[in-house]
Amino acid sequence: MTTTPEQPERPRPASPSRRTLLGGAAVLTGAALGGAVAGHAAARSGVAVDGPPAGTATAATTFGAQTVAFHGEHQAGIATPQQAHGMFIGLDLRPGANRARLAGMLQVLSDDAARLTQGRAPLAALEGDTAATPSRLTVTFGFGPGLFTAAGRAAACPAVIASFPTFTTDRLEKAWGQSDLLLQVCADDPVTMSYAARRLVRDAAPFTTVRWTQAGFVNARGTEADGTTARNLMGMRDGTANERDPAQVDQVLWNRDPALPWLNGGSQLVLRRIRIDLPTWDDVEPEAKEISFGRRLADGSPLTGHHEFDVLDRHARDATGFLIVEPNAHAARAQARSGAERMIRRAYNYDDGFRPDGTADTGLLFAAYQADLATAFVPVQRRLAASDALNTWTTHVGSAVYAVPPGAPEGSYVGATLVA
Amino acid sequence: MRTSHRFTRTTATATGLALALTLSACGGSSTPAATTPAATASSNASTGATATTSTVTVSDAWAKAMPDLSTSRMTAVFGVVTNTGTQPVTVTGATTSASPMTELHETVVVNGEKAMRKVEGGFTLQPGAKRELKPGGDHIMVMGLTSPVPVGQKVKVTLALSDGTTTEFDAVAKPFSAADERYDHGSGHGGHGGTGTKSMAPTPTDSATPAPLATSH
Repeated sequence: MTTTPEQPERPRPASPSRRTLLGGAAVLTGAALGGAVAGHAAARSGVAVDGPPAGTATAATTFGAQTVAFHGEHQAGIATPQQAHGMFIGLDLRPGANRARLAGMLQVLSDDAARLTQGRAPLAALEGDTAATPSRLTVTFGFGPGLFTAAGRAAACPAVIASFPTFTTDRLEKAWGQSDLLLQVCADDPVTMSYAARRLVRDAAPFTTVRWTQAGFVNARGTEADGTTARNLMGMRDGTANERDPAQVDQVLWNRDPALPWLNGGSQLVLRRIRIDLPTWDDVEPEAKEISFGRRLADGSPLTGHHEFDVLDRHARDATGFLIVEPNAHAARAQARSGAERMIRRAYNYDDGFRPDGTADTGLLFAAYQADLATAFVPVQRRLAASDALNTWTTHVGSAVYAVPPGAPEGSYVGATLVA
Repeated sequence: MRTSHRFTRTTATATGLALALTLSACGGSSTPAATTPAATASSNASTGATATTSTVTVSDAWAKAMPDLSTSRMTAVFGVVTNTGTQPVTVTGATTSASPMTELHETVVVNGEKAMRKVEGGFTLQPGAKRELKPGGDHIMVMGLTSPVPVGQKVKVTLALSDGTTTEFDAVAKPFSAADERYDHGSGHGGHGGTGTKSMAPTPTDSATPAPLATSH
């Protein structure tokens, strides 16, 4: 595959423009460079190339090596820019769990997470190739009421989590209900995420059984520019209203309850499985969709604004005096009425395939983090249950809430502030 | 296999030390925790000393959890052993908090199958060298467990070194269920615990051609 200008050879079966490029050029070696030249030549000659030519992907365009720190004041996977894939695993403790056993379990799982998120195989894994592309893997632990009871620390469970309300529109199925422990495993790469989840559940197996797995996705990395708000399966940009200023994000997320000092640096999570009737939604005219949502499909901009991040004005009226956004539009009903109602939404779409009749089991894994469920998700969901245009197509079929412990410093483990 | 022969390149004192540990291990139910200082040991070393500053470090240490001792009272410790010093050093023995009997083991291939056996003379590390103790390879064998080792428990391990120092580390117990190799020793210790009998190497059907790995699931 080597050519030099001094060595004219018989014509190769390459395009003439490739040879033009080669004339007087440096020696070519290797298929990769040849591929690059072929692709470049194809482009010069106007031939359509599907995607980048083979061999042109460089380290700069791959994301597998990127990591998110595991240790720190806060657990990762909360304020972390959302990864393309997310898996929520609800675990229940086997009988016989106690504080000491929980400490042992959490130490092992934290160590696994600390290694996996940095691209290393966990201890006792026989090889580390799958772990070597961490792809911004995060592992986030959540504690349900049962874990506090098993640890003998029921008083340390936030009251709203120990006793979480139901809502009038709920159609909750026990299969998707509260678990003692949650693992939230997210990564830009689904193979990485699957491997990490498997290793974690394997090491949790002596202590837990799996109640449910809820796996989801947003747009693949690279479909749009990094940072673009992902679309949900209804076609809407999902998460636009999240605070983006880090100082405001901190205000929204981290525990401020002085009665729960073990939770300082931690948060609270609500995970709602929202089934969406997409076939019916697909038949709704785009204008009606936008009216129901309060935002435009194309770019997520509110109907009262021009750009995605313009704040939706629920009170804005048009020239004839009518409200621009319907009062029951989802974005209007969901909008925080005070700072305390804010959440950081980290929802994942789910698509669990087709039923025999051709309808799909699809929806949204609505995961939202906040300092206090009682002042954020609960009043917002009450408002949505009372009235929300999207209720026509959405049904909450699963619900689980968790206290999310603070981050672990180096040398320690997540949950140490509760069970150590 | 001549694997064990590479460990004989040690000082005579270390060899004698290893033999002393071997004899006491085979003969009785307890292994002395103390190490006999080698002739070149630092003046700070003494019988039963806790770790002086050792040039040998151990990282990524873990032990196979044994929450149930009804089928086996053995476990193993793994990790990466590094000689950070400027002289070769031999790991001559080990003791743990989990049992009175600990040996250094290597994995060899016997009749086409992997098998484990005690290493005579210990593991020698050149300056700067790392040796990975891992399933299917060299490891620290812990026998006669006195109580279960649940997942998450820390097993305290002390390595005895040929320079008279010791090095201590914690090995966290983890679930591990991959096939255990056959234990190859004439002393009648018997096979290792473990539920699988899956061989890690293909079993040859004749001497020339190994059979393909069975895909049994």
